[in-house]
Amino acid sequence: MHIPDGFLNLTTTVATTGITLGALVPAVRKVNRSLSPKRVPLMGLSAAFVFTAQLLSFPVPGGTSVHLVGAVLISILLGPYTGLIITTTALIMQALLFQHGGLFSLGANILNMGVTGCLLGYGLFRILPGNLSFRAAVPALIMTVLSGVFCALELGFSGTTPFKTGLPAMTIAATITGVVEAIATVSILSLLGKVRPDLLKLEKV
Amino acid sequence: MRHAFIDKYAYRDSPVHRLNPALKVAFTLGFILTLLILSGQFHDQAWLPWLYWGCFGFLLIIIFLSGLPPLALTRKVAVILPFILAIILLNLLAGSAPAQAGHLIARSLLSILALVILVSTTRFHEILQVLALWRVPRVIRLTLSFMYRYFFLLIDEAEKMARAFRVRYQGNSNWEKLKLMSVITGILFIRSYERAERVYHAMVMRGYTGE
Amino acid sequence: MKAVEVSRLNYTYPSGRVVLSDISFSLEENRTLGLIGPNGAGKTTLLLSLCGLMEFTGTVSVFGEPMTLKNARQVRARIGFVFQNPDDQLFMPTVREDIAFGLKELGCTAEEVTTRVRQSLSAVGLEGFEDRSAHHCSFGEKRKITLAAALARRSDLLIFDEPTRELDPGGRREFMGMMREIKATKIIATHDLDLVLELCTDVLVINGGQIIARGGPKDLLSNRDLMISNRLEVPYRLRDT
Repeated sequence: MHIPDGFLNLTTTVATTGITLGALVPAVRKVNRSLSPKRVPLMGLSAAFVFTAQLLSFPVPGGTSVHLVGAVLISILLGPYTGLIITTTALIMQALLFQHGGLFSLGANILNMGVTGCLLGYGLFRILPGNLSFRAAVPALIMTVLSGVFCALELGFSGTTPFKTGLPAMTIAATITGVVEAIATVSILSLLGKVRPDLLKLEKV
Repeated sequence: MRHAFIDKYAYRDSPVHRLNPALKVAFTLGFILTLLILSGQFHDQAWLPWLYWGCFGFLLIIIFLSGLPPLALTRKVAVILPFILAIILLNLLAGSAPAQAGHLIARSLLSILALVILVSTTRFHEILQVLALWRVPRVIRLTLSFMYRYFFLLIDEAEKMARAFRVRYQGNSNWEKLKLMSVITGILFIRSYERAERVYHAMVMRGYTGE
Repeated sequence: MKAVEVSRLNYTYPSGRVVLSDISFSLEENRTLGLIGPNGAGKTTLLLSLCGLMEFTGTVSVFGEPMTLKNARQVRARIGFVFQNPDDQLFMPTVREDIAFGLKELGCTAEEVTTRVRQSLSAVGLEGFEDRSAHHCSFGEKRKITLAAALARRSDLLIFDEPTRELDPGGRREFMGMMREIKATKIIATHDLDLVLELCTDVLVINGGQIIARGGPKDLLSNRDLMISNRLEVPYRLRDT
């Protein structure tokens, strides 16, 4: 869920923005250091891809539909720091073009969807045993659930929603989204494995 | 191409459109931040509602000067309504009367209205120039610039693929549809990658070296 | 002087598929070469190789300068490339920035950039398009902007990959008129055989990565057996009946 402006209090805004900047600044440094000329258009097009994927509606078996985040997917493809920059720019664009999320809540939204999915998610992907599908599905599910939990906590600390109802409601909603995110992430990776296996071996930064 | 004109209002002309983009971005940020601070610190003050109305009046004047259609703006602001409803519902379910609900609604509506006015009177490349002026890292600006340029094409490709699928598939299984959306998304990534290669060639042909 | 000289050019995909084998040809200055052949013949790969964008073996020289890794940049500065899909080429947020991109790299001053952007847009009949976004332009307009971007660099060699594809007949006619006006050496890869007949002075037929035939447009395009065996056809106006 993209938190709009006005839903978070000052303390939460400052705290989440601080954490996000703490992750983003080193990510920009790492990516800059190894940025080959060819990587620039690839990052740009991949960001356009993530943004587009976030706009598509994915049906939930049983009813309704949800939107992907794509943070775990893009981090597996291009690396965690590149993934974080791409997710960040996609969230900026969501706020500017569609007003999904606000300007001062960007810190929280990037924390919930980017820092979790890209940094924690990719870390989990690296340490998990098993095949590619399993290693991708678990972080995709867990990080999406975590983003719902973070969102509920931030809104709770801001006094916007009570923990008693907000936390379970958002965790359940995020779990449903997470299942779809995991299925989609695995299907996309296995499609790439069949059609263009070379794209699974791109440089990861 | 229903997305291609998502930011069409930014391409109009008015005194507000012609204002310095850096000034507009700074004003919007300041406006939202001020609301955030004041409504948090002084929520028990009787003058706060008057301030909200004052801000609203001020934004109305800007809308009038910018010649933007009020109905279209209302529609854009309305994306926030489901969120507000959800929050009220979650509060009611917990049995707590939403404390400061009025403040929350007022400041979030005013914030999103200010954001909508900003992006409806400022073109995307102007916002990029402001980000450059404010030393936002180049890699983020470049990524934003490519994203803005190409997502219109990608969403168009995705919609064409989805349409081609609907023509052939009349079933109602959400499983099938979910699998299909994943395939479409996967193909979209392959196409994005291939386009990135061609774009790179086009850049190199015009002297690009990565500097 | 020879504008382009290619000798024993070979290119193989990393997968092992041979795309170009033993291509040798040369082109005099201010001539227009038509490159024709079926889909997958290797036309685009050949064009990219001429610009040093593919890791080929053999030698390519442009205006007497051999194309090597070291001087590829200087050699490319004399080449303008109009790519098959305008969306690949117009990657900046506005038309002005897009045309200016290639100019800043050439070392033009700010005033010169502004003048050249204006001049090149007016040369393709798109005055006042500077602040438009490419995604707000029609296909025909985008095609002309890619030409303006190439013209603004005042290249001595212009390369076109399928320039008239997807244009409506009116747009094609206009675009061919503009191409004719350009004073430069031109290489055009295309399926549009009428265009070859109208604009080209020399023709290369390639198929399966090899040069099948070379000569003047009328001679080659009226050769029915040559055309049919290479999945081409004799243009209507050259048919006897």
